[in-house]
Amino acid sequence: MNISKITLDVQEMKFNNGLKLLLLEDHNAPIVTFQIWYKVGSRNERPGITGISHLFEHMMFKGSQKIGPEEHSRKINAIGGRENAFTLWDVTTYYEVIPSEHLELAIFLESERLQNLNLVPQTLQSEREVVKEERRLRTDNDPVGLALEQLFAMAFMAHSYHWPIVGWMSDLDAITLNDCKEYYATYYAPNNATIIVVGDFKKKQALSMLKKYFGSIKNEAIPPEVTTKEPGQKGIRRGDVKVIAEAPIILAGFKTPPAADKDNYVLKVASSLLSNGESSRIYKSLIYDKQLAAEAGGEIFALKDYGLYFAYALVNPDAYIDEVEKYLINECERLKSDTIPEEELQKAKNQLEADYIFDLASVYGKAIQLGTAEIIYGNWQKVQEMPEKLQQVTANDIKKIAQKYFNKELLTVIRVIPEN
Amino acid sequence: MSRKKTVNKILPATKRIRFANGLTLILVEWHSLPMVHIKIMFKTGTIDVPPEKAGLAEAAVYLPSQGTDSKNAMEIAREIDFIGAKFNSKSREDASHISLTILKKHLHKGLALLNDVLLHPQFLTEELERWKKRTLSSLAQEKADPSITVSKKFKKFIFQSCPYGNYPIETTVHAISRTNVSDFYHSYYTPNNATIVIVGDVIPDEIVDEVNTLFSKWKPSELPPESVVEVSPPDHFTTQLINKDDLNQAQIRYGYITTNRNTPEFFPILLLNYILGGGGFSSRLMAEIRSNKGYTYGISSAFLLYKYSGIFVISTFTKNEIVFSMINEIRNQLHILKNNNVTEEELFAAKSYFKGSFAQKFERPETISDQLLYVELYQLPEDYFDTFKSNIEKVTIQDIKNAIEHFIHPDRAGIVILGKSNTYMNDMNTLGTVELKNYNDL
Repeated sequence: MNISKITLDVQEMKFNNGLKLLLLEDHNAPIVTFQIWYKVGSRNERPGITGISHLFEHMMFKGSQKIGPEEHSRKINAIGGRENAFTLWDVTTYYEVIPSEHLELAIFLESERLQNLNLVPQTLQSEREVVKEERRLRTDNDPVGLALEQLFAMAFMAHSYHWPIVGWMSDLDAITLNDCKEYYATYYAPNNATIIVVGDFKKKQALSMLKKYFGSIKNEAIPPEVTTKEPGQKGIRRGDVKVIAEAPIILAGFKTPPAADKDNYVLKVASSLLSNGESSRIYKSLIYDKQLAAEAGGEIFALKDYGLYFAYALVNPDAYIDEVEKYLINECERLKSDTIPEEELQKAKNQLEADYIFDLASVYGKAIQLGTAEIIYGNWQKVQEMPEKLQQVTANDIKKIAQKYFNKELLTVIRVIPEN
Repeated sequence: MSRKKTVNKILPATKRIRFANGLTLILVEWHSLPMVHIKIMFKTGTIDVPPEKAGLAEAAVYLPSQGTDSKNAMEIAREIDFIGAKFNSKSREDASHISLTILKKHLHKGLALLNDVLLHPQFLTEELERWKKRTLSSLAQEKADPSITVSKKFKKFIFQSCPYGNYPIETTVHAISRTNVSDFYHSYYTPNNATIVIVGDVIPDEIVDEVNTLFSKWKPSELPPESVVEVSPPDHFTTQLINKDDLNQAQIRYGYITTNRNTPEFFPILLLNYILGGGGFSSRLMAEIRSNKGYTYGISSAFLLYKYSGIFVISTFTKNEIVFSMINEIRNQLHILKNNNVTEEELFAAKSYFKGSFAQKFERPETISDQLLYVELYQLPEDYFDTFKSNIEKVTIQDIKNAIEHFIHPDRAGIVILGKSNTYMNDMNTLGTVELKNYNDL
């Protein structure tokens, strides 16, 4: 079967201050995305200041020497652009998607807040309240959010993936302005960042603008390593979350290897077999044949230090939760002994090939793929290598990988129990 | 009609054909990647469904993929999955859609599959029952999401007896029969009520014949007459409080009935809403209520304009203790707007946003097809995109003042709040009539 080959003509560079650049021209539409990825996220935090990465991301919008609070956003909006940021376990990313002729504005604005951020008590106080509302929205009052928080907290006992990206509420109250200043000085440095530009621009011009605004920013000491290792899991871990609701939810997470590990290619195919499309194994079993769930599926969180594959089911109100859990986990475990028929394996590969192409349809999508590969998987070229690596996966690889990871010693189960 | 030239190289060239059975086909070339997006829109949705059968349009657009004359649901699913396609169906207020995103090399298989699904659906009773069970299960799960729950309740509260406010509940789902689904499908999901948009790595002339061959046997039928329900807005404040004791944050929806999509004041409304609450950090509501006061993580306003009617809504959330202050601040912002109009600077920034963001609407096959279908659905002028920027540019500060006069009403609104009601019920009583409901009784 011939695979759709996509060549990404990325120019890779590094300034003397350690700032890495990935530039990719794409002239499909008169749009460009500018993204700056900082190698810091909740994994770099410690108890007492959990959530600081995300709270700090909010502070980055509150003004600097030359730019007022939220003026960054307003300036980007005023040219018809959109901008935002996200904080994950391993990275904090800021981005703009703008008409191509305004690339310099995005470059200037990002360089300004990297160097000259205003950190003052008033904005920390109001933004702290904003983030607490965000936590109430996405976690406290959302059963799926609560369950995911519990899953990570239970699956990871020692490593910093234990706490939620948004942070514990008491830490959000406790973080001080000095904590923010120290965090800014430690992690927001050119040698801890990668800039990705994708879209309708000329490399030469972009490079001279990047040099002008970022080239002379001083590098800093290399941030401290995350040294805590997660001890081996010795058996299944279980937790219940009781909420006022009508229907249960099950999350079943198996520990998987770090993102850079090549086992992840096989896990990706396994995950596709389990839950990509209406003919996938979990969908067919739980939703179609047995009619036990409104939604069911699975996903891999491939993170820098460890991974987690989790299967989930939004269970019918009248279904017996133990039974649904058994069927859900059984679908994962069946991969240990089943020899996947050739046609089913090919289907999963075809789906991954198509998903790969679809994900590249926008300049933002392309940059996100490059950034994820570069910062989390270790090398942007993995984006290009992916389709071929996935095609090489065999039925035997799936069996071996399932035997290695889909076993109860590595399993954590969280159940949302309705309390009506 | 074919569009040859492009607007500043942004708008793709389109080819538009109407077949003998009334089916409209729009083809757009997009060669950035070897993929194609196909979207079929039917001009029907919630608006055409009787209240006691709410959910019928969803069932009718979903079930064709669950069994045809020659294939059962799993065979169709395997076929879609084997070629890595993404198949979706969805029904909204005025329109229902079926879409397929596919690699170019599988285009012919994809078109044949759509032909089978659209022209030969079986509407098996077994599959209808399966849909009902899953829909009820989804509704039970959704109920735990305060944001979704309050939005549904608010729409019903404002639209009253107008079908736009209806949504499926247990009794309406149970009331849908196989005959209902089949009749609804054959009345509304017809070629003369459909538009197919194909955007992607295709040469239009090469697939027109194929589409014609595949869909020419699709029989047209006369559309049922349209029925419209007029809704009158409240002349005071009226609030529905839904109590759920375990919530530490209240979800708030505030608004009223407003005009429809074909209002001549569409462009002033677009700009006005951006300035008030549609423009993220560039809007007044975000600046005052999130950035300055820290009351919430998000607040936005929207004019949701449909074919026959629409609603103006402000959506936000805050901890229970702040609810009444939040309501007062929203009213305060509406009063300020009513009394002072917007500034020239604000209008300039809003215009710049809509002109500058125009290109982003046409970046990907999905967004291109959505734009083209929007124009089809609301029968907007043929030159809608060509004149979009000049229509934005033409709006004056006086136009905005007029729009505020017509569409901003600080002294009356319907409000729905889902949270711990006793924290703010006494305060809300001072504003107007209050109805209290229990979450468990919804």
